[in-house]
Amino acid sequence: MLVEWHSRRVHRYLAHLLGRLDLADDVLQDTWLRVVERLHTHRRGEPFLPWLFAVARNCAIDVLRRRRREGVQVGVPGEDPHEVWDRAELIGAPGPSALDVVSELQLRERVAATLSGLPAAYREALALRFGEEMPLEEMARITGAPLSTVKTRLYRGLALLRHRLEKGG
Amino acid sequence: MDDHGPTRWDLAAFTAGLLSPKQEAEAREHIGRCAICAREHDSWLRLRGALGLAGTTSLDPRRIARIAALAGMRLEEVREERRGRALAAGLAVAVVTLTNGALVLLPGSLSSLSERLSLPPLSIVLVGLVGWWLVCGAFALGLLPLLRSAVGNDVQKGSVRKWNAS
Repeated sequence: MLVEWHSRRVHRYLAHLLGRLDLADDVLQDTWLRVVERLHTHRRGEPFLPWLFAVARNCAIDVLRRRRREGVQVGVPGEDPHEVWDRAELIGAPGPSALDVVSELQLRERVAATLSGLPAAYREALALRFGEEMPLEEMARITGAPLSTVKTRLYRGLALLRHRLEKGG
Repeated sequence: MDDHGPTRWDLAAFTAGLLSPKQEAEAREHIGRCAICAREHDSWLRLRGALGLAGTTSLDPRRIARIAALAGMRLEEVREERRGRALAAGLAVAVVTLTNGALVLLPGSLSSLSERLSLPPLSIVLVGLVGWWLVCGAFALGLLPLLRSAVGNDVQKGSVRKWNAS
């Protein structure tokens, strides 16, 4: 019952995190097996969903690190991207946006494509906040990062996404 | 916020729910009277909406059922393992307790052991007691949590069920 209830959300999160649906399928299975093995570490009274997402995240990171050892270039969610952050360049003044003229469906497709090209830390923050509608505190619990880091990743991810969407035309 | 009110930076943060309640109120108030910022805010909201739907994945219900079955099987295995460990620990304590008890309580057993080992009966009792305490200590420190987790699994599942229902 528990598996049926939460699998779709966890799968969606994993697909964002890993950037590949087939990997998300495998990691979803690993996640539930790990949940069963570690259920006794879940503290009574603690919300289950953030704990479940944290387990899923750890399983995903294990897979990403294994792939990196095998020589595949992958981003790991816990590692913030090394970047020179220019707020003025990414977020200009308010005004008409190229995005305003595209249809909802087009926008959704473009967002999905652009999102997959963002650094893993940003992808994760955006997926948790807007895909899963998680409160910031729960995001911090899942990622094990301070609240300020979560906010920064979320903001920068959102800004970078929009910048790339608009640059893409 | 500058003279213009919320800049694009503030509107992005507003959309992501990153502003303080005071800043949020200011942004809301400004958007209500500034057409440029209202349109900008709409753009961010569209992006937010698209992001919410961007990750929709199709997951085959048969795949979910298979994972559920696998998890159920693994849960049974984990419970079996824990039961086994708890049983082994309980047996160890019982064996040591019974051996010590037999030495002290069975007539003649202590004196014959004392003769065989050439040790005074009191030292054999002391060694037995120390051994018993060591086994009990090991059980309490290392094995008892295992026993608790074996029994506690149902309690945890109960808490998960309760969480689901809420």
